[in-house]
Amino acid sequence: MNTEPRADLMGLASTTAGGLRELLAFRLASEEYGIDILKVQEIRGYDAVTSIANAPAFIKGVINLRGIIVPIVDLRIKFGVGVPEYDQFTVVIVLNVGRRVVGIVVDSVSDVLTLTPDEVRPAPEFSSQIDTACMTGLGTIGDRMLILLDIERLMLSREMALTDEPIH
Amino acid sequence: MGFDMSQFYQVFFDEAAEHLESMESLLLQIDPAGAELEQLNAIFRAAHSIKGGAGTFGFTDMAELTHVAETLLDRLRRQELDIDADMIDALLQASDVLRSQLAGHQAGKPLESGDAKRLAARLQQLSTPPGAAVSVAPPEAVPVAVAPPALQMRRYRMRFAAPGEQVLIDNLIAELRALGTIAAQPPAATKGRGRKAARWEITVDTTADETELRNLLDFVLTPDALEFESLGPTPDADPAMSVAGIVDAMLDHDGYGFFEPLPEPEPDPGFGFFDDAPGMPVAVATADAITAEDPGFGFFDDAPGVPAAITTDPIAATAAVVAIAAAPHTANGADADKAKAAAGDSIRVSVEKVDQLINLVGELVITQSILVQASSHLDPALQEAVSHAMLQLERNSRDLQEAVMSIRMLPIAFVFSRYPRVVRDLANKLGKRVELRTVGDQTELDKGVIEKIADPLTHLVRNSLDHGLEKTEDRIAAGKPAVGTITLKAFHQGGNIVIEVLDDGRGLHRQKILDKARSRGLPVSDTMTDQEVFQLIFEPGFSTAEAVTDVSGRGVGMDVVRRNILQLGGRVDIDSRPGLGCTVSIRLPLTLAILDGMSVGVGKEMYIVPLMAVVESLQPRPEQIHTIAGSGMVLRLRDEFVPVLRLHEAMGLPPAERAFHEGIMVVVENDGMRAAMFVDELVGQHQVVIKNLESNYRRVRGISAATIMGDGRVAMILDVGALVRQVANMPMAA
Repeated sequence: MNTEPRADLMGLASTTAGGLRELLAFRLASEEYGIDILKVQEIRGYDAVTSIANAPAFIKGVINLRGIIVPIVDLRIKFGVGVPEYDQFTVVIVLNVGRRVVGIVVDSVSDVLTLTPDEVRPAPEFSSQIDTACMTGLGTIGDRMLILLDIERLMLSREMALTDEPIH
Repeated sequence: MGFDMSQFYQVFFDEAAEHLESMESLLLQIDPAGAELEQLNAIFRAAHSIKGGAGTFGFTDMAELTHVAETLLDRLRRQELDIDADMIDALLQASDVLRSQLAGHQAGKPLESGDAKRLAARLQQLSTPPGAAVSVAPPEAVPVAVAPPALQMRRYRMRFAAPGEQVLIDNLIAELRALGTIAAQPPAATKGRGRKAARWEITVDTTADETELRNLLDFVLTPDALEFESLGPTPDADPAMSVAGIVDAMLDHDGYGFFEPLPEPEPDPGFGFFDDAPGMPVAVATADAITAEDPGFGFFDDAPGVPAAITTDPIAATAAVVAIAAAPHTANGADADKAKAAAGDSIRVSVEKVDQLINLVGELVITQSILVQASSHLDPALQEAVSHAMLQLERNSRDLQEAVMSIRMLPIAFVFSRYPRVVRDLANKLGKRVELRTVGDQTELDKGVIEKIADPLTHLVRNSLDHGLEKTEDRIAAGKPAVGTITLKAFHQGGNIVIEVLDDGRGLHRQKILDKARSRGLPVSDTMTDQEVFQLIFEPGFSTAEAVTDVSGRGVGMDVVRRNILQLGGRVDIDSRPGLGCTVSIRLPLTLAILDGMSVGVGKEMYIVPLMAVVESLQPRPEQIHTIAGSGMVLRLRDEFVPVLRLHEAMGLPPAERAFHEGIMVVVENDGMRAAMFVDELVGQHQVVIKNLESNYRRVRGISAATIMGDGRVAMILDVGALVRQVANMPMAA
């Protein structure tokens, strides 16, 4: 592995002084994902979602977050993993992406962890529900494998249908 | 004049700005083909007032420039020159330069600009017809203070018809007396009869030059009503005596001594006005009073520096008011009144404070509606007192909210007023003839919106002018009026304000836009509706210029216009007819506005229908519902058939479980079109705070915004206009 793609990978997440990146890890069914912790505003429960007319199935609707109207995306539906169930344990990660506030529904939040550059591998080319451009690599810690997402790029992409003018 | 003038600077700044504004708007009204004398007089007065003030306060750069402008204006209103577009241009530029000079002084950094000098030279050249020399006097401003003391005394004689209003004469005499020694001969008249059309004769011994005197006279009199004669050096004048000295002497004197009877030219030798107190016109005494009080400011329009002179002196104040009323063009007067009102009845508050207030009130309204909901479950016996208080609270918070919201509302005239100039300048540059019309200037909208809408609107206006309107010869060839029309129109519609820019130009070219879109690789097809095609011009990099006229754009694209408007939570629509013109309508929410809404339940969801759109609600009888071609439904409403819109369907919810006659039909109207919305139930009537859905999500068809209900849940506010259009366009056999 040469250093070229690695530098590129690092540019997409917040890096600490030693080239480390801090991530929030969450689960969708059996898969584990990591997103840049600096994009996360808060984590809350799932409740009182108001549905929006003619929205794709993965957009559950909007919630009132202290006076702000925030759309909620169920990543389980979007990625086609797991069974979308909503109970008192369902978790919403509220993100700050490009001056927008968006919530994502996940099965659970596991932990906050730090990856060194050595622990990041480039994502292999394969076809999936996720645009590979939004996947920045795979993180490995022991037996765990994290799918690293550029969550901002993903949320603002055209396929998420969250914005009128997709930035990417 | 030894006291500190700077305390009056602000008054001058405000007044000069107003005069500049009225000068500009008057200049824009002038038709070069036939300027009305009254307009020219009004512009001249505005310029003169600025000059006077500028001189008084020592802003010589402004005084000099206004002086040359005034010279030109003077010749124009005497009809020694005919006004042309060039002159209007130069004068408009002068008002621009003056404005920046004013801003410079205001900021304490006088402007050093070659513009002023160049412009002064140009104005001077314009005001000098071939063969005539114009004497350029130094700004007269405060003659008492600036006139060199040892000037040659000269005698002038002027005869003129009385201008109708006695106060004008009084003021004039007061002014002349400030310049030198005068002898005034009122017109002969039979006692008890008006002196209209009679002639005054005044002789003045003064060091002031002819131009200065003429300026004074012109301020009051029409040039043709005046005979002016220079009689040469004053006999027996003491050349060493300063003008200031004369004035001092005059003030010490009882005043009447200066009114020496002249050799009587009129056939009424027995009329001894000035020797004889009973015969003395009251007016002259009035003039005296003014002069004695304040020699420099007896004339109202020269008073910008010392407003106290006007307001504290009842006589002078009356004089000012009457003089304004007497002047057929009341622009200055209106401005002055406005300024006075503004100074007395308003305070300046930072927008931040107002916004904070609005936010707090918004929160209060939400809390209030939470309270209403919470208290609805209370014990009825207890509820009586509570519900009474709740009603009171609701009324009060509604009033409070309305009052607070109105603070931020301004008429859109604040934006529209800048376009006459924009249109004029651009039309000149492009060689097109354009008339700008504005409709609905007084439509109010939020100050924040006003500020943000100005730039997109300017772009649209320029676009219409540049690309929409054809060249004059093309218009004539197409059988249209030679003068193109651009109309700016503002009106409220539902909870929105709609601003339209209409032109009667060539309209958009559908095929060209499609071709252009294809060449840019945008997904288009020939089956797209006109609306969809026209929306393409808002795509980034898709300049109207390239698409429609092959003239290159100016770098600011329509995409920026749309983005700005979307940011305000609004939307832009284009309608165009080839050869007939194009209409761009901007629909904006009245931001932060509170909406009176009716909440309706549909399945498990609740929606808000803007109350303004609701015509009536009813539970239909089964026989009122008719189907058309199987599935299209109409509701028979007395003599009218109204198409039925099933809100479940429109909102993508599971189909209604109830039969039509078990639910409620809410008849809504938008733009003259009606529809009956079928809902499950009516829940209530609320005032809701409009929350923008687009700030974190995107625009949703049929939804105009969202709001937060009393229980904290989000409810969607329906876009009745879109829904009604949708049902109107729906194929009946859907």
